[in-house]
Amino acid sequence: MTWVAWRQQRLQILLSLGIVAGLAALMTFVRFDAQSITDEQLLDDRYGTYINYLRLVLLALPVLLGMFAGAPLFGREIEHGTHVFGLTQSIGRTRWWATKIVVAGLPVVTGMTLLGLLNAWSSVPLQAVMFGGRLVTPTFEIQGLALGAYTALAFTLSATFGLLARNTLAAMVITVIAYVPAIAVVGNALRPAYATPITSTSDELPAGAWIVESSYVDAAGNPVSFSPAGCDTTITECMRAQGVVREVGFQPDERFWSFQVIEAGLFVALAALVVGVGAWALHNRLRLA
Amino acid sequence: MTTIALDATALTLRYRRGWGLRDCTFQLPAGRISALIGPNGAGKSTLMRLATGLMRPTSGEIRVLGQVPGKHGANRQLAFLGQDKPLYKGFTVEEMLRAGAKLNPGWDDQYAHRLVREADVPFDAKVGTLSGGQRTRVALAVAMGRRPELLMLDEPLADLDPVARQEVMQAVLAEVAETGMTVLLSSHVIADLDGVCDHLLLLSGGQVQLQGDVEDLLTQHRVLVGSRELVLPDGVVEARTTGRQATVLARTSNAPGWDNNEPSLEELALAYLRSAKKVTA
Repeated sequence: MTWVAWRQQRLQILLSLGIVAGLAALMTFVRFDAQSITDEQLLDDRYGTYINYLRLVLLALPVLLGMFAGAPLFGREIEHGTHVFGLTQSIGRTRWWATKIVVAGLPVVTGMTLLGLLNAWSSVPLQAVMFGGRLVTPTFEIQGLALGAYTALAFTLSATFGLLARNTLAAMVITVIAYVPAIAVVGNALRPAYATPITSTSDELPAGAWIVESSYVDAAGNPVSFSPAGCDTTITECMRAQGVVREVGFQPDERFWSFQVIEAGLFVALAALVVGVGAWALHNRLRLA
Repeated sequence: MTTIALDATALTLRYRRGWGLRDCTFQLPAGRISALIGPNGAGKSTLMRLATGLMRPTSGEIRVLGQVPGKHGANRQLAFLGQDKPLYKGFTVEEMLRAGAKLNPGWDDQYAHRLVREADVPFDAKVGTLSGGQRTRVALAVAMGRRPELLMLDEPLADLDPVARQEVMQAVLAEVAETGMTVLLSSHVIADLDGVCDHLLLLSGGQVQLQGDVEDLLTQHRVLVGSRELVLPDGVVEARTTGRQATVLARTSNAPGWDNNEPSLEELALAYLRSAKKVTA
């Protein structure tokens, strides 16, 4: 079955890996070029646009490649009726399904994971000219382990919905509808709380700190309400006059990799759940004819 | 080797609207060529798909060579060729045979290649570029390369021109004669199956109308022609009158006063199908 699945999917697999390889070559070049530039302004001039476009591309790529590999995997096969061929041979339903998932999904998820790790390495010299730190959206999403984990979710979503909806296009639409909110909710609601934020009233925060909460406190540390609207002087003076200081909670840059592991684990778990739903449906719900 | 190839007991499949099959009980003897006849929507494809395990019955049971098709998929000794001859369009004929080899432990590569060669289909042609007849021959080669005990063909001749129909039928029959495999062949064109099949399963409205050995069925029935005033014998399946004359198909060996004739397979099948239609209508 492995050969059959490979023969069926090889065009998609090779195209996807080609895109990944092209980006990898670009990132490798950027790393070596950028680390030779010491002048920050020059670095910004040369790589400002690159950073913007790379963000766009790498935000879209997991869902695009995931769907490209996943949606037709069962959707197109059922549309063409060829699943009847695969399922009436001497191999069982489970092996047919599992082999197709592994053969189509593994290369693209592995490729994207490696690309994410490469981008983390490639972005090191560009850190100085990036807005915010590595933990901030969209910098966090486009490097490290997250890229591969997002791809895994997009792939399993589209493969499973293709199987359930028996249609490639429907699988793509449902995947986008499910994937985008998942990324947004995790990034905004869950990621800030992966670890307890460090609180500080200092004006100077360590480089790359990601501010996740902010409030006003009095000298004793009790929360107070403060409105800059009632001030006649500058806000800083006004706050000092009222004995109010701004307290922020932040996630330091050194938590980047542990956050990446948590985020990737979360998405891999979601992907596993989706695969589980597919397996359950395959055995209990599906009339595959 | 079991003597019963397909054994259905109260086999029922309910679709969201209506019945696919309703309380079907029948047996298909091994080593025979059975015809599965019925109008469109009679449940022929449903029956085959239940036998392959692609679908599961709502109630009742079907045994394929003694085994219930389970979660592990189709019986290894069962080869099925679906109505639209599903093959991977982007594969070459050679690759399609290779797929057959990879997916089936008992694959006979020489035999499958021979069948394709006999059909004059080029091995390096893409499946998507083949004509209907060629595609059917390749699909048959992939099915028969498995050396199955039971071969199920769902409307194998639909969408073929008359010459291709004949060639495909001959290819099937030659291989069946050689290997002795059991065949179940469905069609809504009865003429295609006349003289080919020796066992009959007649479906209509999801129910079995008639089953048995073709020879036996033909000798048990009579087409009676005579005046409409004549007394009808027992076992009338269908009676039609035109003017003063009546044509009756009855399950009887002899009816005095009538002009007695053995029916053809087509006459027999049509009479049962028409009478089934009247009952349900």
